[in-house]
Amino acid sequence: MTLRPVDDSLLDVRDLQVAVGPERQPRLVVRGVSLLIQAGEIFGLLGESGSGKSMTVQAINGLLPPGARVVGGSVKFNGEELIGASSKRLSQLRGDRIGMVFQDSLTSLNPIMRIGPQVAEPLLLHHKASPRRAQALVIERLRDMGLPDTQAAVRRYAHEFSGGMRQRAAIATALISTPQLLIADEPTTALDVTVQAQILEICRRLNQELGVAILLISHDLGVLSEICTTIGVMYAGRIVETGRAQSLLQNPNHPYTRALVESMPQAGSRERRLRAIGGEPPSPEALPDGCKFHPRCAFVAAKCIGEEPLLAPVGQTRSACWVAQAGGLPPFVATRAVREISQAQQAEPAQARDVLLSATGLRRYFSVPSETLFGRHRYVRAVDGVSLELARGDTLGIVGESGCGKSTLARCLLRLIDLDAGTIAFMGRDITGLAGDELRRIRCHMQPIFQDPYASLNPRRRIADIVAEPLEVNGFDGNEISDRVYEALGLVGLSRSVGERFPHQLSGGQRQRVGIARAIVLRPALIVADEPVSSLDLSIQAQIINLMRELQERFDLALVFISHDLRLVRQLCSRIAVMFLGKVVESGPTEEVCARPRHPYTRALLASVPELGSDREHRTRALLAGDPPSPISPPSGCRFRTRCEFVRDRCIEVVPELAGSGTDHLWACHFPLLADDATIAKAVV
Amino acid sequence: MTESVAAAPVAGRSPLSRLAAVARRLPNAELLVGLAIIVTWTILIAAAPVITKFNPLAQQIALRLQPPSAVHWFGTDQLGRDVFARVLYGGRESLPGAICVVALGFLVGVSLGAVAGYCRGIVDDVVMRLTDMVLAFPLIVLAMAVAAVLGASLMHGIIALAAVWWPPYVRVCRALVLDLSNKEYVVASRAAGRGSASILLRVILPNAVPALLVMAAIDIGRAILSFSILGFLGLGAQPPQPEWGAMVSTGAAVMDDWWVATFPAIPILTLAFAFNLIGDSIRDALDPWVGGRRQ
Repeated sequence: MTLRPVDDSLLDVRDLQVAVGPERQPRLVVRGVSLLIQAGEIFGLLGESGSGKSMTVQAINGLLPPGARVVGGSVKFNGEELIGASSKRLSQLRGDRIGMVFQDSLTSLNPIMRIGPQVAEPLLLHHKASPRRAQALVIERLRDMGLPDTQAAVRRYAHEFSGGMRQRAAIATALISTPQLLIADEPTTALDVTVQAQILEICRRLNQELGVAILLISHDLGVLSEICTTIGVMYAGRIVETGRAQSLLQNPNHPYTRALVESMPQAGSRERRLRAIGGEPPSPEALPDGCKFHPRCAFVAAKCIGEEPLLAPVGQTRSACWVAQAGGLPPFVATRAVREISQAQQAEPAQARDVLLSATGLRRYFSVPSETLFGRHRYVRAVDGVSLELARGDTLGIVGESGCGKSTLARCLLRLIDLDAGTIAFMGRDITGLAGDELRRIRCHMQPIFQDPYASLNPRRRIADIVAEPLEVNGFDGNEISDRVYEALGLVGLSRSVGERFPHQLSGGQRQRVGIARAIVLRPALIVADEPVSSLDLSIQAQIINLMRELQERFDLALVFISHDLRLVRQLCSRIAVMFLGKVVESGPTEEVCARPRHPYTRALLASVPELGSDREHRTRALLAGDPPSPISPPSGCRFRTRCEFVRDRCIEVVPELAGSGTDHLWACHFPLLADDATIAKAVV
Repeated sequence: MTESVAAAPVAGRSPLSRLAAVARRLPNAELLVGLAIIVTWTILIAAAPVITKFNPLAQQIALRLQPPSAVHWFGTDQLGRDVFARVLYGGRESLPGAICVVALGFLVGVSLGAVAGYCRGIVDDVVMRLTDMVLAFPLIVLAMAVAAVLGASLMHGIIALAAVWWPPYVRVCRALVLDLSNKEYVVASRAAGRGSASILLRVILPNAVPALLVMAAIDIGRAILSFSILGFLGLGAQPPQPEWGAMVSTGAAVMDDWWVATFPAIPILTLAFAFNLIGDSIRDALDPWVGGRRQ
């Protein structure tokens, strides 16, 4: 190990070890983590679920859950040892010198306390500030966070806020006494991309203006690359590579980091396959010998199996890899080289093939209780006049933020919920009014894949039974059922023995494979996948996306892929539809829409997606302010107008219709951005 | 190198935490204790003729209100009957009676609740208002009214209690079904082409029943108590048939002779306790996520 400067280090963690489980056979979940955060730095800690990143930060601020304990190492904050410090001293530091922001702002804010007093709490506790002064400071801090109408906001409760506003309030609480260090554990994971971009922007600004050092934990390399100055990559309880963000992202020296960088769907490319890492992260109970990454590593050497490597300088970073340390890794060639698929190749199948699914004017409202006792019934306009068309074997991506009605649309298309208006034609016949047996027969040809692989599998049935269910209820006989079940399991890359297990015995990635097996076991013509990878780790996401693409091509499936993640949709789909508050605001061929967005919302979505090495200056300008308006009372005229920077009178009065200029690229905007990419920034002023 | 954890200092090694650690390693102590109590009582009740030579109905007026002795282990009551024999034979009425009450209430309540929660709309409204109506009455008062109308007998006691026993099951079952109906795996079954009845019976109910079984197990204790209250009020099993509640009731008249009321109260108390323990452990065991063991 090299000597480090001690003077300006704010947080110095050395060889931190955390164990869980019974005292006789403890399992180490953090196995010797060392990291150094300088004052005013933004340190990003990257890791998949189970890598020990959350345990690491919980150990740092003494908030380990019951059963977990520090069994070695030291944590020095401003030179003061925190491991073994009295809980009184830790309480003094927490909230005052060290601020915390958690992932779920709904549970981290006290639901029965008004926002104002809650944000002020650290001030009152640590500085005995007068309530009046505290109040003034709270309002100022909330305003810094970009919270609208702060005077009224301080009197509200957490549930009256949207997710983005809650997270702002949570950050304000963490920063109210101007700490030296802010620890943010997945602060944007639960948020929409446009709101995520706002929160990250706030973090960066606070870092610059207040000089707060930030320890940012995330599983998303894109998020970290946005604002971090230093990045540490955790795998199986250890940091396997660390270095300046720039050099680590451009020239990673650990095979795991390389694989992560490569498995990031790149905005500019539409490769046939994502670079996925095979296998799954090891569980702390069954760690492999030697280097913990070697079973998944493409560069594995004999030494990797026997002995675990330590961090050592390689190139511009420090990497814990025997091969890299011996200079054995090939030079990193960024696979971002855009391998565009020619336009002709893409457009051809869509035109030549017959229409499989066509939906016209779909509408679905949900009634919600009125606010007052005798008030009128109100409606959530979840899907409000959506039309779309899908050819046999084609892929359509539907993108939008939470609450835009994309999941409702998916269920409408599958006829799982009833429509208020509109018609759906599938395989050449109108299925809008079908019911009972007829509906069931047509459903054999259209199958869903769900978002949450934990909730979408019946916890009481074995995997083989779950996959067999569609066959059973559609009257297949026993032998054929088991043949097709095992064939389907094989197709999604699961072994036969998995069939005997229960869902809770599988990992998230395996479960989603089961979900896919169930969807393809009937050999449908159409699959509607609602956020199928959003709850999976990055390396697993890439595997699942590749699997879906493989199966889609192999069986000539038509695919409706619903996601909030524009990167994935771009990767997988030939056509795209952007939804905002129950309406499609722009649709067309993916490359066309992404390269030349005509609707301001599409452009903002594109700009909000965190990417590696993107042009920050350009993006900051296109960020959206505020949160999406409520679907209960959408704005008059164009629904996007309250967030649109180009809004004019006509937008308030007239609802824009989807229209285009001859091609199948359509947009719903009175004043579309100019088609010429270069002029977007100064389009309509 | 970092694997050697054993030597590292570990906080919190008090005797209490060691005891807790031992308890965690036991295969569910709650369940064992609960089962032991129930099995013991069941054997005692079933083998009553072998264990005691006394006839629970045989009166020996000369030997009335004898305190516990080597011959009469639990003493004798006002009519000189052996209390030990009466406690054992009394279980033949109370325990199966209580189980019947809960089983009937469970069947009626779960069926109604499942239908209400799954069909919603008008069916839901009708069932739930009916349930609310029954719930509005104090349970034991309504049961007394029913039992009084039907006439006092063991069978009528069971029917009377069952008639007021189902509403909580409707409420809980409906709530569970409402919640489960929105689960993605239920939607997945629908997308697979499963019919409505099949979804309710084969997908939703199997996932709802464990929670309801817990409720039922805890309820058996309560049913024994309610059954005893009916007996205590003279509306359950009729004299001279022994029944625990009725025995406590008659014993309460002669409080100086404590054994007459105390010994029949012991099985009521311990069985209620045991079923509560079992209810708790069933919930843990049937929860697929917890997997039967807490970490």
